[in-house]
Amino acid sequence: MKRRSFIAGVTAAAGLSALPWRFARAETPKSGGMLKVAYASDIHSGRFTLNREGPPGYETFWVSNNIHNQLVTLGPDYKVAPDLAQSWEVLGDGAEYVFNLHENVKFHDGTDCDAEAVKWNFDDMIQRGKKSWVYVYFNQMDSAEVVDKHTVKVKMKEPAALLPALAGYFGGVPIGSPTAVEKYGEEWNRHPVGTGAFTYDINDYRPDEKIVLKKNPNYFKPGLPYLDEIEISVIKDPLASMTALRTKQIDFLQRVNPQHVPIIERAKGVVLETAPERMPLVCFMNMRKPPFDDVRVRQAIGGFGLNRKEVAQTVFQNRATPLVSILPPGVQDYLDLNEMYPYDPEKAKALLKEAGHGPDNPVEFELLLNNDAPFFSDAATLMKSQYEKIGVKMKLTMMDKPAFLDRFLGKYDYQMAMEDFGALVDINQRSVSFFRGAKSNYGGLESPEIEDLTMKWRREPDEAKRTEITHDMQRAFAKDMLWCNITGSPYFQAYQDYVKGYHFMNQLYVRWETTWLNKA
Amino acid sequence: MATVSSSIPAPQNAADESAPSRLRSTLHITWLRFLRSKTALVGLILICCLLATALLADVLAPYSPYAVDSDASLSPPSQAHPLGTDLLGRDMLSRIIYGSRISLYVGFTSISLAVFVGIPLGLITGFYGGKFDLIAMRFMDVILAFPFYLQAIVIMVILGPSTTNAIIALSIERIPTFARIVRGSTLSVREMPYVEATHALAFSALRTLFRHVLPNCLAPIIVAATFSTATAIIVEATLSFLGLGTQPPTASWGWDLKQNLTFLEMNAWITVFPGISIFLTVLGFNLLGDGLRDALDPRLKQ
Repeated sequence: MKRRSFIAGVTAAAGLSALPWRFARAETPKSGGMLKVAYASDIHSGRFTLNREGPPGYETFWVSNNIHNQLVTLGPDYKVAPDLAQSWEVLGDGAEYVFNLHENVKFHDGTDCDAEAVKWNFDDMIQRGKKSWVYVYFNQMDSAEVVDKHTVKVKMKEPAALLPALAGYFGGVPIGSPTAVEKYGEEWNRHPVGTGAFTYDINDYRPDEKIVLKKNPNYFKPGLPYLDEIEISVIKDPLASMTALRTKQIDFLQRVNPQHVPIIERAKGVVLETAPERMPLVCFMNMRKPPFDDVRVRQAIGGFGLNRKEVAQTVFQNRATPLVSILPPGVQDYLDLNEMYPYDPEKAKALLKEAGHGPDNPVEFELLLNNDAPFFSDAATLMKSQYEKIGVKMKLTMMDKPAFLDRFLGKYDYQMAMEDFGALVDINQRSVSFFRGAKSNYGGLESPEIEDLTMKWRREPDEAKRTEITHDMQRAFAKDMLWCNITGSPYFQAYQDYVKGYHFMNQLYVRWETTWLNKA
Repeated sequence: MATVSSSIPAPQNAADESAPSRLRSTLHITWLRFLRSKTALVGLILICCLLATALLADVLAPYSPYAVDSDASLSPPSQAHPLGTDLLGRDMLSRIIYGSRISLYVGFTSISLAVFVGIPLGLITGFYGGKFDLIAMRFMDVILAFPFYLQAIVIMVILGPSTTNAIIALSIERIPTFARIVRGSTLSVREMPYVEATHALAFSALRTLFRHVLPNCLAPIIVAATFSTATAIIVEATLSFLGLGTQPPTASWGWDLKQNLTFLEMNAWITVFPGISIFLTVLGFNLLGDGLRDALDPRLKQ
């Protein structure tokens, strides 16, 4: 007998309405005004690939969030919440998903966002297959079909969890206008046309300088958005952007350098937001080549020889969590595994000796890092001094971000690389890097056990059992040091106290549909 | 015949015998004129202090510039750490002392390389002229056409970040300066009667160029080298500031300035001291260069 699970429209509607009205209890939102925002980087070459091509970068997600909607999204409680779909049904333990869409939703170009348009988006994604960097999340999706004008059914090849990926992994699956993609041809990704609260016009875009979003007057959520315009300035220097916030040149700072937190905490009229880390500071060990193809070397250098506590205390001034687990503490089903690898230089030396390394034959390797955030080089310098104590020689090579990404993500031409990497909803989101042969398997992981556990997680409809699998995966990664996290990468956002109705989503989303300005 | 020939000394012998005393007298006059300028003396003292600091860094520095001490993170100036400590608890005084080595090393090495290539190039192009002169000088024009910093950044991006590559980038940029100065001087010197005399005496080209032409071009080269060293130190600090020069954890004023800028508001001293070091060094070279220019300029003879 087919099991039918049904999430009632009541829950959905409550979730939807919670977004705008949650903040309206104390004060009545005011419409109008321009929100001035600072981002640390530009949107990725001005392209909005909707995850159908290469990874576009966080800034692009955060702009895209406001131009597009998805079928489902994440609510303030980080649970799956309605967006274009007002309700949904999960059939056959995840063999089929039926989405009931809002009616009379229009894209910015005036065309209908109905079941046909949604199907077109899913078909496009399935057709692009591995060209899409998030393909591994959706490779069990078989087809999408139109049930009626406002109902879409997604069929899976086998029962699998689809909603977390749709709702929250790297901006999910944004629904774009098929007409616009046809109209702009090869240039489609420079002309994003969604259903979102704000519209984007490429003529307002100044590369590396300014991104402008304007109010969508036909937005399907009643009364939203409140803001008339959002102007996003690209300010790369964290000190300059922090000063701009304190002198009220900007209203909203997308990321505060963790080392500037004490200053922002003292600033008057500024709200500072943070939450347990969802993103880790990772030291990727390239397991394709020596010395990190040897598990003992990984355990010595990524485990017992690395004083994570010292990095957290010194570099992040106790604002970060020492982290052995592959999951940061803010992520669902996190397991504290720090006791598996206490700082023990003697044990690290013994492991290295066992692997054939000693004073005459020390482990030597290059750590690749970029100069995007000042704490990378601080952490690397501290690690270098820690490794000297176990007789390991580490050479630091600092590069600018594009050159770094080319060597690290493009050519896998590295031994160890440091990066804060991917804000996560759950462990499945990280699985983009778990599969042999996947382009995004940056560390060269070859573990049938991890692949099996990942597939088991995806097929498991029961949440409690998924938690158990997540714990097993974290232990498996830590046991052979297949993924070396140093600490969580703390994320801070700040805005003026007259910015109201914004809900902090800890890097997963930056949405301004409910934001308003409480100033004259 | 023998009497006649012995009573008329050969011109080159006369020149050679009188050269040391003339040189001594020129140096003496130059030195006296240099001493008259108090600012030039200040520059000289600053550079001497810097040289002494760099040479005696192992003795002068109270700590290793790489010694991390997490417990002393961001300590203000104290008896233990006269210039405070950075985020990783490294002693700023020690890092500044060792940082002088990098600055001087890059300054002197890059300018020496530029001089080593620029002088022969200027001598040959100026002395012989012709097509080689035309091609070489147009090539120098191309190098000079690009903005200085932009060119350095482009070269560093191509070669990759390191101190050695910073030296190469700075040398490439300074070669045209020396080649042009030497070429200009050579063009005027080659028309002098004493150079014509070397032709008449059938001296080799090398001897003419390096014994009779080059010594008469030295004054502008010395002045340009001094100013160029100051520029090289600033550019190295800039490249390191941008993360393209000296790589961490090596003590470098430019890198330390950038890395500690984060703490400008909370712990200003760790940013201010590397900045002051760069300022004093560049000031020293510029004052020295000014003094040398005045002392070596024959038009300013009293």
